[in-house]
Amino acid sequence: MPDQEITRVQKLDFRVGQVMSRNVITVTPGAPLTELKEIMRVNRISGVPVVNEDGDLVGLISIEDLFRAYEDGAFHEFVGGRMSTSLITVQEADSVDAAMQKFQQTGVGRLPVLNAWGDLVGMLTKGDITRGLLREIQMDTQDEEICRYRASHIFRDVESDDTSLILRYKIPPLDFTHGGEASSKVKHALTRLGADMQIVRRAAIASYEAEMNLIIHADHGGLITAKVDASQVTLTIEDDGPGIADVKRALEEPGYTTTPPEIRAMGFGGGMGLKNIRKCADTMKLESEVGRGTKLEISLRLHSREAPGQKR
Amino acid sequence: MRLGQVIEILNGRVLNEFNHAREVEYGFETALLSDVLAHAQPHTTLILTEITNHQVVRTAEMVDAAGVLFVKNKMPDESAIRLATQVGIPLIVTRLGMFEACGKLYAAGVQPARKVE
Repeated sequence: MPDQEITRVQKLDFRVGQVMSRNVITVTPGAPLTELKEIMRVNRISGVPVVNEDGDLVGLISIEDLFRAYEDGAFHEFVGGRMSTSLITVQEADSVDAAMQKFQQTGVGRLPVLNAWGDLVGMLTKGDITRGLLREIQMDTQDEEICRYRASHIFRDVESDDTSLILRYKIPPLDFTHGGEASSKVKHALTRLGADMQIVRRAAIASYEAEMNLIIHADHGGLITAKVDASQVTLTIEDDGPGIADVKRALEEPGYTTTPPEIRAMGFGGGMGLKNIRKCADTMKLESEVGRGTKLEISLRLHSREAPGQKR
Repeated sequence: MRLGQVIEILNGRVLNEFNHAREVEYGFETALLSDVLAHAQPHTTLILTEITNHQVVRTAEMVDAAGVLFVKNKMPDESAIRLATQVGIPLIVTRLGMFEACGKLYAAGVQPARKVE
């Protein structure tokens, strides 16, 4: 590897844990060499770490060891008698740079990777490092920038008296596994459209608070609509019940919450949601009627140069 | 400091792939996600928590957190780790308790993200 490349690895601050193979195939010392041969053939690997019954790493056996055993006519021996026990290992938090040096100094082809407690967590080959580097270089390509450029010019490219983009998401009730997916998509869309990062962040936080409110409180879930035009994003969050009994309290009183305790245990319902939404948004309108439902409308200017939160 | 240093200081274990050079300036310990949404500083806040559900990952995503650190060896499930990888949120787990984890990071220069009001 040329020197320049090594410098680049150092600059990336790659760690072994980022590039190693995680699904490690292991054998026990008691496994017959014939079985090892099959494992190597089927998985197309040339070295296997040997672990005892407690899962501790005790050795490493390579295809060279296997060849040597076959040359000696020792077909019927076991892994334990043929493995190498002078173990050279790396830690998952070690830099890839340090691992490269270890490869060069020792001449070994593969290194078992241990975590901070000495458990075997992966294997590292030079191939893994190369793949990790290639992945990083690919990420450097300008694809994302090109997409972003095109998207951010949509409002200039498409001519009309009033162009806007409408994104609509249905939010099912009590679906905590997918909770936040809609807001994540809104965030991604605004980023693509070239909005200021701080504004995207505020919009995402407000949207997410509102989305979780739908999931936690709304009888039948609800609908999130994001309307984006050249100058602002308007988020409308609506449901058909149960409605907020005391809107003023929900908006003004710190810590006031109607969230049930089991959901509070998940980290929600600190009585801060609506207050935080108001803090994030430039404008906010909340209408609610018990038995009818709630409609929350907020807007954020997309290209304001004001510092975020200035209007707190 | 860098995430790599956080891992070293807390003897942490990494749960997904991320850039260990990512900057951490602030720490935020929490059992309440709304609190993070209301107070986390952008980009350089590390969230320390015992909450291991999907929502902690989503919350970290929304506030552009530098990562999530689970204390007391609390492990998120496989799908939460996948989600974190998908949205680019580093996950680390430490055996240390909240008090010790915060103390060590604070002593090493990580600042509180929550402003005293």
